[in-house]
Amino acid sequence: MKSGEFYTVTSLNRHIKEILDGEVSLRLVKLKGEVSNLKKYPSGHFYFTLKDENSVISAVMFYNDAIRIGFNMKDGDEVLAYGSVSVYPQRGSYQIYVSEIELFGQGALLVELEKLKQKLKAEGLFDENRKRPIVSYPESIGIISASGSAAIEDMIKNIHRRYPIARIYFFPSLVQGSAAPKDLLRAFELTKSYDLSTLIIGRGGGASEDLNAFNDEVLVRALATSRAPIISAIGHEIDFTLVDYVADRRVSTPTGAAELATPDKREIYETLNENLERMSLALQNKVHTLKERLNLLAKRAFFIDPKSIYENKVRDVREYRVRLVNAMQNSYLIASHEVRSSKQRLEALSPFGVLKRGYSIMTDESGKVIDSVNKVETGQNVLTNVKDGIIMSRVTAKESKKNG
Amino acid sequence: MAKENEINFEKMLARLEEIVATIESKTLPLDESIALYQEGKSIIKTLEEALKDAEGKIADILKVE
Repeated sequence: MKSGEFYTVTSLNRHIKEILDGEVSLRLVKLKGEVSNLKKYPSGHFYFTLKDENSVISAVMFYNDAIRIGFNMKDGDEVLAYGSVSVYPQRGSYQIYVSEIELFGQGALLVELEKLKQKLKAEGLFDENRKRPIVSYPESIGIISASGSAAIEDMIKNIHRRYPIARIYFFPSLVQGSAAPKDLLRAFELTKSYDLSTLIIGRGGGASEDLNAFNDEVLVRALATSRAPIISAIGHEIDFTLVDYVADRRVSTPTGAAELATPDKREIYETLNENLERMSLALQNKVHTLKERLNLLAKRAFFIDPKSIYENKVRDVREYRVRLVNAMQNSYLIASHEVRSSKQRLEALSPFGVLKRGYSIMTDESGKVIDSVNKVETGQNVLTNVKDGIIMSRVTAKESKKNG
Repeated sequence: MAKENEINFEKMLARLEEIVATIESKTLPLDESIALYQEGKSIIKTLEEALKDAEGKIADILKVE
């Protein structure tokens, strides 16, 4: 630089920027450091510093890259950042423009996690035949989740809406951070004193949240002993946690957990109505069938015309009476005929019967029959009985028959 | 833990279904069918009321710490 010439601030900063940008070794750096002063702007850009024991460097991560971060970045995280170093001329400061970032040691953690998963799987903790069905009509539902979270509100709201009978026991717990595994375990231990139909372990939340707590070996082993069937609702579509594997059922949303844990009230009403209809119909059919049978019987003659039951008998009685009367008359006739003929025969034998035929009977005044000339004297009064009276006369003479 | 809610929903629903099937099977005398029908109706009433009651009071949420 010649004497008399000078940089402006702008031109110096631009010059420095050109030198740095031209330095190939700074175009792609891999930087290990601890995140601090992290500011997430509404624009989606992240501004933070990376530091170690002795030194700091400013860092920026633009929206397009920041949304792809695979974890919930926060102050204190040990990270590996990939990016290029350049100058921000307006501020005269250099910084690292981060395009990718990962938790330091995450790769190793993933390997560890996979090993743990295989170990627990080999022990049978994730076996399908260990999975129990979720109770259809739960009396009580336990929920382990973060206090005040959208997830817990969502679950409670949906359980109430679908099946208000279920009693809900809420066991608040931390769900992320280093204290979360122990806290989740403590919450789970508490659930053991309750007679729960179903236990939901849930958290909801964004895609980039820290799921490590749900991969804790002690927690997973404890959950494997749960008396109540477990629904996990860790809320991650792609990444399964070990809790998801050990749970009896897994869903990806809190609403899904509530729906799986409860029957729908409307379906219950429908079931009840359907049963009522079936039952009523069956009973109506039964009554109808019996009625038909009754009708068939009722059509029998003696129900329609009850007289027919005794009409025959009446007829019989009438007939018997006629026969009886006839018989009586006959026997009377026969008897009276016999009486008459007997009477005639008797009369024929009577001496008076003879009178009718023109004979007469002579008696004396005392009534003694005179049947011989010797029984009468001349001059004696005699009585002659004829059929219609008595003739009184006097004997004037008498004569005996020669050969009488 | 005392259970205030003595209704066992699942058992009662199962009993209801059993009743319906029995009435439908047609082998039962009418008076027994009617008795079962009445039992069924009373179960339906109990369950519907249980749901309505719970809706009314919105079942407890017990926060356990």
